[in-house]
Amino acid sequence: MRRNARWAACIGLGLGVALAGPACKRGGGSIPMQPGSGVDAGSFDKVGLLRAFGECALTTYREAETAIVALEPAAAKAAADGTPESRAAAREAWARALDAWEVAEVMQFGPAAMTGAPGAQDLRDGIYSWPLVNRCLIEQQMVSQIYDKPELATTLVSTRSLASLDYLLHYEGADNACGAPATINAQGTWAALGPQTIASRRLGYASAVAKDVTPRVKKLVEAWDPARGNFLAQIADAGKPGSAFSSQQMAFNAVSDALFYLDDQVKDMKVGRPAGIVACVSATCPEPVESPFSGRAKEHLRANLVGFERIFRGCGAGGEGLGFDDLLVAVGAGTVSQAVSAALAESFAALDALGARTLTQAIAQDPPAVRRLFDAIKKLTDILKTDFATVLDLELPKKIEGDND
Amino acid sequence: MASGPAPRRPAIDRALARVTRPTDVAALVAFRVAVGLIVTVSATRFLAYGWVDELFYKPTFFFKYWGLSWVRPLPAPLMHVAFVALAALGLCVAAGLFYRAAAGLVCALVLWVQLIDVTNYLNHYYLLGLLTGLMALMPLGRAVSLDAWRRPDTRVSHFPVWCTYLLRVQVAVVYVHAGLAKATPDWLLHAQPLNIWLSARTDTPLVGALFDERAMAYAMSWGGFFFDTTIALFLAWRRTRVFAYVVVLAFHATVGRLFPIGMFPWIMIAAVLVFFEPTWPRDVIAKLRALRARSGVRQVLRARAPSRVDASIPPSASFGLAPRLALALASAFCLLQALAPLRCHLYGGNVLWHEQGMRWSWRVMAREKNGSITYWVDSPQTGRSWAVSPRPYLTDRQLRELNNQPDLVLQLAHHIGEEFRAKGHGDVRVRVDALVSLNGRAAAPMIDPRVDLLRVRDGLGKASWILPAPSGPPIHLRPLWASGSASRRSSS
Repeated sequence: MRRNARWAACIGLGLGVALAGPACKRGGGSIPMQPGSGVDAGSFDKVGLLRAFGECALTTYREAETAIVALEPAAAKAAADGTPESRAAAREAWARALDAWEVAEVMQFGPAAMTGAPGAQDLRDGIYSWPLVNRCLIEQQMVSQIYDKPELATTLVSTRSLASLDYLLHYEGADNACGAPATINAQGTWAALGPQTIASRRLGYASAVAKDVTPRVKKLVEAWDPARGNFLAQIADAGKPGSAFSSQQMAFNAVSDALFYLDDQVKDMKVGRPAGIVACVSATCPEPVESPFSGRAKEHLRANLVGFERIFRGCGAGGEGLGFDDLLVAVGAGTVSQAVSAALAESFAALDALGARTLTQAIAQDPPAVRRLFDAIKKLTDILKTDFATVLDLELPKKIEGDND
Repeated sequence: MASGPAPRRPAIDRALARVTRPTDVAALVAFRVAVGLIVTVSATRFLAYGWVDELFYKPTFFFKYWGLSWVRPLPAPLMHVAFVALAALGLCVAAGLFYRAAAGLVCALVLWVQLIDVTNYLNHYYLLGLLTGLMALMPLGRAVSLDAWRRPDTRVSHFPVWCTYLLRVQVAVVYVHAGLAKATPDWLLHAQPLNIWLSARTDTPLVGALFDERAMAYAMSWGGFFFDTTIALFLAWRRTRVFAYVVVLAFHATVGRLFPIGMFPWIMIAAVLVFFEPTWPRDVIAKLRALRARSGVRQVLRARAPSRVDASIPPSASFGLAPRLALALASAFCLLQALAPLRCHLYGGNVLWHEQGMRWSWRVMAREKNGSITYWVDSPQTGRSWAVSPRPYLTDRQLRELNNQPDLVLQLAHHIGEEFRAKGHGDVRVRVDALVSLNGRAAAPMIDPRVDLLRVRDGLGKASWILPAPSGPPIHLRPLWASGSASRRSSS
């Protein structure tokens, strides 16, 4: 009877009696959730979920910051003494830094996002610019030694960021990637350096890049930090005055759009293209594989999936904490949540099935296994683009707003 | 000599006599001004928001209408010039300057812009094109206009009533078909897609908390259905007209606040003015003056105002071939407008899924649909197979439309096939994985993934390569507040 009255009131309100709004509102707006039902324990509402996304991004950025800060002295030591040990230490520090950052790659919303997105400060590329990496240009700058000058900060991102360190810390050859007409080859300035100077400049360049990236990741963390830029409050308060997001839905759109990193970057560019499945004329195209010199592309993929899992299932260990899965279960779309979780598990399994081989080796030795990885990630992104987007009414953020009807 | 009864005039003459009766110019002049200003504002928005670049210069691939592949955008910066011209032409229509030419050009420009790329299609711009096209055939520039001021000999004090009738039919067709499009189980029995849309807008000020209630989605679904199917009737009936217009204002203001539908509410709010008495602007002015003067001015002005149909001007006694032909054409146009939106039923199935007969039929905001499209290009010669994402070929806006519309998927398949052939891959086949979710149902293949789309030609016939819509009801989202108890129920 009471419920019928609520329905009647809502129907009446639907026809324009807005003043009765509070009558249909449940007190508090937060609900205790059942453990084990797919919904995390504790209170749950959309504000809480948005705050959880923000806290997850901030936690992940802080992890990256810690690792990148540790990279700077390691790279400096390698540049200073050039010993195999210090180089190995720098490589290890870079691997830890990039492993941490690759988790954050799936969290490019707010200040890390590209210009045009809500709250964007375009901070991502300065930290990690992949796939924008230009080895030839880096080598030209090794000759000009611009890396030793403040101008490095304003050079193209394809010549700095953590992405360039894959080459600078791991490549040991004395050749370069530029063509014969390039100045460094035509004028012989590269050859004149000699192998030892080349190796030394690579490490010097790497140290300069590590030094350049540190303040950039700190700037990102500060932008989110509640004690500084406090973007965390902006996402939690989406829809309120002062927030970069004019509605909660806009904030959900921004977070979900960041998840689509898995589609165009991970599925197509990191796996599909090197494996010859996407935009590759020859049988395989291993050249565009991520981090080809360190051979860590597979670890990067795993970190990307971990980043996705943190946003989708919750940022804590084993998916603890609020994530999109909680929202899906809460609105009665638990099957969509289960489908995403299953596809994610399948993606992890397909990645594990590559074994100890690097991605490049797997592409050459076991193409069907790489195809299975591609298909598993495709299954995941298909669900994101269809059921997930439909049920939560998500769209790509409108960089240019248009009319609809 | 006794005179017999007067010979009965032919039906067509009686009809012509009826539709050529003169009426006051006031309402249609107001309509002309409103439409002209809407055109100007719309064109200005395109320029101000960068949509001209986004729609005409950013795309590298354009989706063509069947038989209209020759329609292309003008080279830069002529599209900008065209929109500046459109804004100026809107002002000309409003002011009644070179009226017929201006209205005709507005119609041509608005429709041409829509025809350049299928994804540009919007119901409300199609309506604007139709209204301005009809207006170009009407003498609405001969009163209260710069044309009438420039050439007093062309000035008229009355317009033929067919102008009002034709515009009313056009506006009524939009509403009725928008309503009929909602007569589906998804809309009426499951309150979808409104359940999905409202659940995502629970932070709307004042009423947002209600949007979590399924009852609200049902109320708005049924309310929208009844509104669309009946509002023209209530607007046509004098006793309910003012109340109906208040409902129109409330409805379009609400929809415009909740959804990004741009100029649509404004266009409809202006368009339904054709249902009011031909003298309504004078009546409003008179009432305002009476309110200010608080005297008997109202009666005086009412007496001066021409009647709805001015009986003092006799209708023509006989009609030549031209008016008869015009009446036939107008009737054919009305019939076409009334029947063409129903063509989707000839295809069977669910039009929201196969989309055959979807455009040009006033199916306004009828579905929530998202898709994932991946093309597979097979080379029988080499045995290679490539996954091709549509993303590099399209803008974000085009991609969003492609994901839902099979004929667009087919067009891009042909383009991709031609590109692969041109690159020397020989006689390739192009298939597609087109997974689509409609109103929250689990995603299903929209197109037969085994079909080589290069062997399929676009046309008006039923598309056998489109798979049937998934059966079963759409999703029912529950309110967030109910999730705790629901979880407990399901776990017990």
